[in-house]
Formats: sequence, C-alpha cells, structure tokens
Amino acid sequence: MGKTIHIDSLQIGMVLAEPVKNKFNQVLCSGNLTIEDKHIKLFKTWGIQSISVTETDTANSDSEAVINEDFSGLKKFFSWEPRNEAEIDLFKMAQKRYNDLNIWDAKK
Amino acid sequence: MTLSEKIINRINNIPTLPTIYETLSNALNDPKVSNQKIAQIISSDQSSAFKVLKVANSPFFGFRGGVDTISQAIMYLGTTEIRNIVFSLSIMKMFSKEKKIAGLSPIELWAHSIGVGILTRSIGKVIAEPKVENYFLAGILHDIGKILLLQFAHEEYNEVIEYAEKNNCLILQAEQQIFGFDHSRIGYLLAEKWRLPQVLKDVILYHSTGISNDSSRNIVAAVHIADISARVLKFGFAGDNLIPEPNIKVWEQINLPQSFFTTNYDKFIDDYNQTVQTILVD
Repeated sequence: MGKTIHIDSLQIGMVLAEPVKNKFNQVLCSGNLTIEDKHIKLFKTWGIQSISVTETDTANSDSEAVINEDFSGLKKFFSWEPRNEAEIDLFKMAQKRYNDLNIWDAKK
Repeated sequence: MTLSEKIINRINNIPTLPTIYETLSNALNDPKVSNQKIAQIISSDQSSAFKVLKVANSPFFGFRGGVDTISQAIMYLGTTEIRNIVFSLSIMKMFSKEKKIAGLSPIELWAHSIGVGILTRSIGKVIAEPKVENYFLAGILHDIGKILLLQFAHEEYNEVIEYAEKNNCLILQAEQQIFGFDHSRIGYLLAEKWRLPQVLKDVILYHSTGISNDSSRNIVAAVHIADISARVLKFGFAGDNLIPEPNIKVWEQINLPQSFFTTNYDKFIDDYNQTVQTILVD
C-alpha cells in the first residue's frame, strides 16, 4: 500500500508504490523505483500531479526489495523474465537506460 | 546453384587481411623486434597512427590524454593491445562504406560492435582474465559475418532484415530461414581465410550460444553477455530490436560481481559515447 502525494512533495530517494502513467496510459516509470531528480523532471514534463509512494518513503536496498522489483514496464522490450541476481541487475540497468533515453513510449 | 552456395561463392572474394595487421603480427612474432620498429610500422600510416593515439588516450583504455606518441602507447598498453586496436580500426575502415539497407547500416553495426567490445573488456577485467587485451577485439569482430553479408549479399540481406522485423524474430533466425545458415558461419569463413587466432574464431562462431571449449570459454561467455547487454543499452543496432535470453549456463561460467551492471552503468555509457566518437567520427 502506498500514500498519494502531490508532485511538489515528491523527493529524491522516495520509492514509487505503483507505476506512473501519462495521460495516454503509457508507463513512464514502473513501481518500486527509487526516485531520482530526472524522474521528478520527467513527471513534471508530463504534467503528473500526484504520485503514489511507499509509506517508508526511503529507498530499500535489501535483497527482498530487489527480488520484488516490478519490471512490468519492460515487457515490451524483453520476452523473458529474470531468473537470477545478474539478470535482475540487467533489468534494472535497462530501466535506468530507458528512463535516461525516455523511450518508454517507443515501439520497441 | 542454391542461394547459400551463390552467397558463399561471392564471399570467396573476401578481401585479404589488412596489410598493417599482417605486418604487425609478423613483426610481433620476431623476438628481437624493438618497440621502435613496431611504432614505425604503425606510424607509416599517419591517419591510422592518429586514431590509435586518440583511442589509447580515451578513458576506456585508462589514459586520459597522457599518451603523446605511438612508442608511449605501446609502453603503456602493450604490443598486443596496440596491434588489436590497429586491427579493429583497419577492419572498420575496410567495411564502412556499404549501402544502408532497411534501416541497417555498417556504421550502426560497428557502433553495436564497439559497445560489445567495451562491455566484453569490462567483463574480462572484472573476472580477472589474464589475457584481457583480446577482449575488445573479440567484441569488435563477433558480428563480422553480418558486415560481410551486408556487402556480399546486399539484396538478400534486405530480405533478412524485413523477415526479422515482420516475424519479430532475431536476425540470426531470419538468416537461417532465408539463407539456410547464419552470420556466425560467414564470419568464421573470414576468420579462417584471415588465419585469425582460434580464440577469435570461437567468439565469431559461438557468441550466440555463449558456450565454447576450455581455451576460449571465458571470452565466448563474456561476448555472449556483452552482446545482450549492448542490446539492452541500445548501443548501435544489431539488425533487430530483440533482447535474447542469456544462456543460463554462461552466468555460472563468468560469475559477475553483485550489481555489476547497475554499478558500472555510467562508465559503460561514457566509454561507449567517447569510443564511438573517437573511432566512427572522423
């Protein structure tokens, strides 16, 4: 369960409780993502007003959080699921890259 | 004559090994050769020498602007690494002017290969591979078969790219469907003709499965993971937009440290951008 906050209250280090979608229902960031400055800029660019973050509102770094990572936003890029820590790390790198390139809306 | 036979016949006209590589390799096989002599061979082509210095000075190879002469580059990086850089540059120069087909150009393929070279070398360093100087070249050469098919089967390769896109499959599968063989076999023919070291032949032949014999096991596994990682990072374009699932056995083989990809992410991006700029932009 998360709590909903206004975009102006969103801070670096908070963790998304669920995916953030734009007005076209396209996923901008998947859930369980730790917020960085670029994410806040991305959401403001898309006019996102409210965000759902986890109650603890700090980044989880334990292995349980890693295993529970939500990679649903990556489904159009990967036809397979991660099977071990290395592949989870590879998926996390993909999330970071696609945020940086802002290509979540790309065909592939 | 079948289509595959026609293509293989055409590929028999593959150009000979770039002269500078052969001259350098022969010189390096002479135990009495001096570094000055090696530097002289490289410097005989001024434009190559200039690019070699640019590459040697890139952060990826660990020297930020401190290498002023080819002799210094040899001293810091070693003769094998320098020969491999020279070879990489000559091959890219040799096969960079082909026509673009269906959204695939040699430049994009080379950019992908540079990305694979950077990631392969990074993996080699982190697994403490003693012969890491071959790792960048291995990445550069892994898809050489695709470059050859672009040149020698230009029209047919267009069909392959379209097939891969239409059927949402890997280019490797499309090649097998259209030609009855894939780029790894064509690349291997070139490696045989050029008498490249066995370890590089194995990389070209086995990079898609990631499994090879004892002597090349680590480098083939590293290229397999690097190839997939370069696709994840959108480094260049390998001919299709898919990200193949890694061979699960390969992870056991190379056993990367925890969070290897996310920890080194920024370095991968910087190294790739700078190396592509250095090598592919005149």
